[in-house]
Amino acid sequence: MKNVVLFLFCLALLSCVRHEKPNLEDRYQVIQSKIDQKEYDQAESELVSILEKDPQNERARMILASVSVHRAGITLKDYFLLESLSHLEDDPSIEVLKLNELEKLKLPTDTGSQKALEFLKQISHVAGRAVEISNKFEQVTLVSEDGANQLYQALNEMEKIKTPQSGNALYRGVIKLFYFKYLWENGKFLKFGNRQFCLEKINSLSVRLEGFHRFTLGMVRDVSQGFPKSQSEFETQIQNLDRGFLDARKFLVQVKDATRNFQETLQDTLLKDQLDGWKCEF
Amino acid sequence: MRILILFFIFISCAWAQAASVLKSGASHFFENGDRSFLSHSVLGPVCSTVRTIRAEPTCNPALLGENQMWSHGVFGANLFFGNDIDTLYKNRDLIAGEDKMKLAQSLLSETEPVSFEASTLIWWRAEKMALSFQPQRMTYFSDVRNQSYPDVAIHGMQEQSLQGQIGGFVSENWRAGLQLRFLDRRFVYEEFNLFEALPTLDEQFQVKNQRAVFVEPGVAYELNQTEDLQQWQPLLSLSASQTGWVDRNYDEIPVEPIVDAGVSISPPIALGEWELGLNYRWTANVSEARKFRWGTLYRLDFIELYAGYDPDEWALGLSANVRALSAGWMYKRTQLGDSAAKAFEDSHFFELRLAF
Repeated sequence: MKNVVLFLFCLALLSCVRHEKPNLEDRYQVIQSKIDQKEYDQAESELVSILEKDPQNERARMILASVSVHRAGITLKDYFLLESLSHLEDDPSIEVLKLNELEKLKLPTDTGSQKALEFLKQISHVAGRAVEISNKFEQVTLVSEDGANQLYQALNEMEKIKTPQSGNALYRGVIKLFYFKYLWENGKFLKFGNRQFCLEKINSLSVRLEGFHRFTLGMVRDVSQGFPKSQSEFETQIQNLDRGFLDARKFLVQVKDATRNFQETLQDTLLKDQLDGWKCEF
Repeated sequence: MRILILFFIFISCAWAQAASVLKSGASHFFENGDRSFLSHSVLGPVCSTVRTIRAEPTCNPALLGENQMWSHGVFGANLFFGNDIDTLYKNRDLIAGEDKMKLAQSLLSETEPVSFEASTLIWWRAEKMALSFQPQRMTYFSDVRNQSYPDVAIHGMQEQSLQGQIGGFVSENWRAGLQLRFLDRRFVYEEFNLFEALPTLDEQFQVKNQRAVFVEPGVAYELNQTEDLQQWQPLLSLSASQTGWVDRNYDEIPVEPIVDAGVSISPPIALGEWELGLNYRWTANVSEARKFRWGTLYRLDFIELYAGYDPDEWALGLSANVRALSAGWMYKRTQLGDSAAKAFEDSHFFELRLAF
């Protein structure tokens, strides 16, 4: 009987030995868990060491970017709003600039006046789209300034991948949406209300509009890659947005004195007597 | 002496545990074995080497023929369920509701793995044969790592099965048996990064079907040549499972033949019955840590206690019966490895059993 017991004991020792070795995917899983546990520094140093050996490793770079996203407090529940964003459509009811009164005035038919009016319409259109996107994100927590800095870092990391897989382009687009919300709500693109838009200098407005144009189009393009079935819908949206931005920017390029503010430029372009009784309030 | 041996065994296992490397926290829902019985679930593969002490179908058909009391047959029904009952309760409205997106959102937003399991079984056990029908077994497991760039694992299954067993002594020392098992399952087994998968999620997220017929033999040899051996009742066993035909093979749940070899003893004790077993499992896809498993069971009057151990999982079970009705509870701790948000998962299962 002792032999049986001894045999069982030897088997017991064997039974307790484990031989599994971690592969790269196992390492990622460890890192992913560390991110959830907010062990950010450890996760980052692991990822940096992977990227030092293989700078083209897209998965490692995306996870590295996601460390900053996690720091910004954006999690899975926020992503479930993606579905509503896949059905973006023009909503004419959103009118950022109240142009009714201006349109009622009998503006001269010269090209300068019409271009100025067209510019305002285009600004109203793209701002309306921005409001619509921002509204869709109403339930999402607006990130703080620190959070926005983290998102900026994440986006910088992701931009290092020249041609990301469609899913990762979507991820970049989604993070841009969160960053977009912050930028929009904090007037980093265009400032409206309290005559801020009216008093903005043309050269400053031009720079802001260019940034707004570039960022918004890049964001929508990235998001569109995640919805292959809605490609044509997105393409139409992208074209409309691009046209709106280009038309608006065309007007600003033609302004001779870019150091004057928008209100002054508008008064110069439109006949002053036609503007009697109308005040720039944007 | 016995205590000293057990002490060394557990010390050696604890040492090996400390030196363990990571393993993914994947579920074991697709593993072979009848998990509708508390005893089988606690013991795991060891149940194919210990003599069954309750009136129920056995894991190894060769171990039928144990008890003359069941010569007229025993009918029974089991309900076995458990794990994250609290998560189920929390989401009861969403489960009943139409908006499955909200349910997915709720389950995937959990910071810890979510799993639950439930099964029903109707069975008949006689001395040398047994039949069982499992109308429903459902399992669910999900785990999300990095909520900001989520790696998602979702395993879900619905299974029905029908099995028949025949077996018993073929000579003084040898036992042999055969089990025939029909299985029909629908499952989802997906592990993906949410964003990488989103563009093609419709195509990827498919419910798959699998049907199988298994012919599963088993043999056992009782060592009873000396008085000493007769006291300790050592038993060597060998059984095969998942041997048969599968209509479709899937890489994610490979159905490979399994061979279990085990040894068990029944140390003589003054009060009650005690059995201790060790099983070794050969198959293409079992992890190193799960190849060996210890199991023990103890019975005193109307109470039965079970324990099972391997480096990945240990479990305890308690069952008590009053007349035809018995109720049991099982506690299980599964190592999730370094890659999981926590080192282990604790789960509780319950069994309600009617036998007459």
